[in-house]
Amino acid sequence: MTLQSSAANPGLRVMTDYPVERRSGSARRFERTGLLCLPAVIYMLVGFVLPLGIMASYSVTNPSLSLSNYDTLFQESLYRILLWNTVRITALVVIATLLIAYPYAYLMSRLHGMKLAIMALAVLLPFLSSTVVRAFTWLTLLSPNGPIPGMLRTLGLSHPPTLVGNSFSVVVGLAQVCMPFLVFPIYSALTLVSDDYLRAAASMGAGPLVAFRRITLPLTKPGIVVGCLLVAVYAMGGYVTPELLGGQGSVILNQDIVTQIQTVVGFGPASAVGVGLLLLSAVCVLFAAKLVGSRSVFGA
Amino acid sequence: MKPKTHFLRVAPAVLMGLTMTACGAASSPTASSTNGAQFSGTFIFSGFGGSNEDTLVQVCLDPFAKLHHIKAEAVTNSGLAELELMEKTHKVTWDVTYSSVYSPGAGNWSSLLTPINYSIVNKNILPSQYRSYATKYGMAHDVGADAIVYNKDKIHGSQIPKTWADFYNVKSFPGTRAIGSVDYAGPYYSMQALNTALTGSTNPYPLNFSAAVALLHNDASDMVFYNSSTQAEQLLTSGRVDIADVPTASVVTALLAQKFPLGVNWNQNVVSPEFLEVPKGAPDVPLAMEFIQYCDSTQQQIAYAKLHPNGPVNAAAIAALSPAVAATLPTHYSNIASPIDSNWWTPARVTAATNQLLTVESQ
Repeated sequence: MTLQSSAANPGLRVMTDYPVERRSGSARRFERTGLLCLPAVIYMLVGFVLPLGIMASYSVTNPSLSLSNYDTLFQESLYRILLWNTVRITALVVIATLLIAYPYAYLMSRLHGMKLAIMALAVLLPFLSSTVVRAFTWLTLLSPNGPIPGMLRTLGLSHPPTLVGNSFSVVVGLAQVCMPFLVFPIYSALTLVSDDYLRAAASMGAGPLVAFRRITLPLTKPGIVVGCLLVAVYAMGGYVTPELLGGQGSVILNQDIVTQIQTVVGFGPASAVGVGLLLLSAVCVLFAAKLVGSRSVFGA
Repeated sequence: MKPKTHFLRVAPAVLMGLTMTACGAASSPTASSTNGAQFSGTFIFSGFGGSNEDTLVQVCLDPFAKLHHIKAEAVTNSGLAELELMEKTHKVTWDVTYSSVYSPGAGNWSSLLTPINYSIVNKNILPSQYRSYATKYGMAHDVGADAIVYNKDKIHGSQIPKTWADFYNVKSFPGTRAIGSVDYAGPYYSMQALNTALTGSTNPYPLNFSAAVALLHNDASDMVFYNSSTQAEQLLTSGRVDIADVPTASVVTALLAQKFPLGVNWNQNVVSPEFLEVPKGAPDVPLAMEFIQYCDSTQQQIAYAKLHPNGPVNAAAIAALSPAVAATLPTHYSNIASPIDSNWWTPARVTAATNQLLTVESQ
């Protein structure tokens, strides 16, 4: 047993059961300067910042040193349409996912044990299958001869609406893919809402709806915003689902990047679109930080 | 606080891990296709995958390697963009690349390709209708075609579109249609078919993109754009569309094999070449030229035509095919075809056509 100074209060000497760890001055300096983060920093620089830099440089150097690629983005009506499609579909995916994910997470927060584990697994399990497989599953379900239009016909709708090859199928497909990104942040936020708050509200005459609106919803706002941010960024970056389930009117900026590279070998225009998408994601992040504070979004 | 399972506390981390694993899995096939050394004494043929690449390996690459006592390897590429990246890093590993029917402009991509040495490659094997398919940077190996197809259970008699003008006239020929998206040959096939519809000529060059897009706009609400041959098949079999403009080699062959009631109208079929090309900076250019000559030889072309439903381009091979085989190939319908003019298509025109069609698809 040894006597050590408390870190919080140097004047206080406390008894410990373990020997004092002797650290060299350089080790302490190492910790202080955060060099332990170096591998992660290098990884991010090489794997993320450098490629982004190359992409940004391509956007102004390919095919020649100019801003012509950005000029095209602003001048051509194609890009205004693609931007609108991207924002519209992303917003619809966020709304659709939130409408399903919140009640689901709320129900999860009321359950325990096996029931809770089953509900969580039901959200996570689709992640174990490929996005392509999931998109083709929706294609089968929603196609005119598929079970869902068949069910609508059985219910008396002789000419069911087209459910695939449009924005609807893209939103449905992306919402399913994005569900875990919203369910778990909301669930985490809900578990922090103590039942005592709700009991206190009830004791003061608040009904369940009022308690939800005045207590639960505000307290889970950070989870909702962070989850919506993850969904929005994922939906904006999605390619496979819009490519397989989409059609006329649902082409988004991401698909144009692939087209520019594969069809016309246009690295410059594709990079300019990539930079545009990155800025769009940054706007979403800043908006989220404004709503719930940077600590909830960035963790600091 | 209610007791919760530990599993749920780590669920977000598991989620992120699974996402990253999925990303890695998705990117691995592309990465593996370019992992070869710059030149290791192995002759590398870069195809675009599928049954066509398999057939070329079987009837051309393997026998060529045996003949020359060399090692040969086929790698699947994702397009000319991959070649551009190789050239930027000065690590061109491909000896010969095979450009899809979906990029006939590839034959003119001068910044990426070596001019074909026609003292080694014999372009006189081409029949008169395919003479233009011996371009400066690419020599045709085979031809594919797009034709009008329809569901025979739904489209009968006078409702059957017989020309591209009929196909793009939804009022007189009702029914939902499918055509290839910009990612699936749209800039070439659709632009050619639309211009054939506008002019009534099977040689509609020079193409008018604006007029073509205006015609497409008229029928846009009845049009579905597909991104792959599988999707085209699915659109027809599911009943989503009744009529379609599809590649005959993949979609028609597959649907007829499934006994789907498919009607095929070869009139004005849009024919396009598939090129063998030598990348700029290829490890062994003379050997690459010999390979192209070998692939276009009569015996190899006959062997190819027996295994794959694209047409051969060697006139002697076409003449030697059995009538039963010949009748299934685009070469049999060349007298009623609308051939794509590879020399007219340039990278700038491909870009313009792509952006105009994408505008229609996006709206």
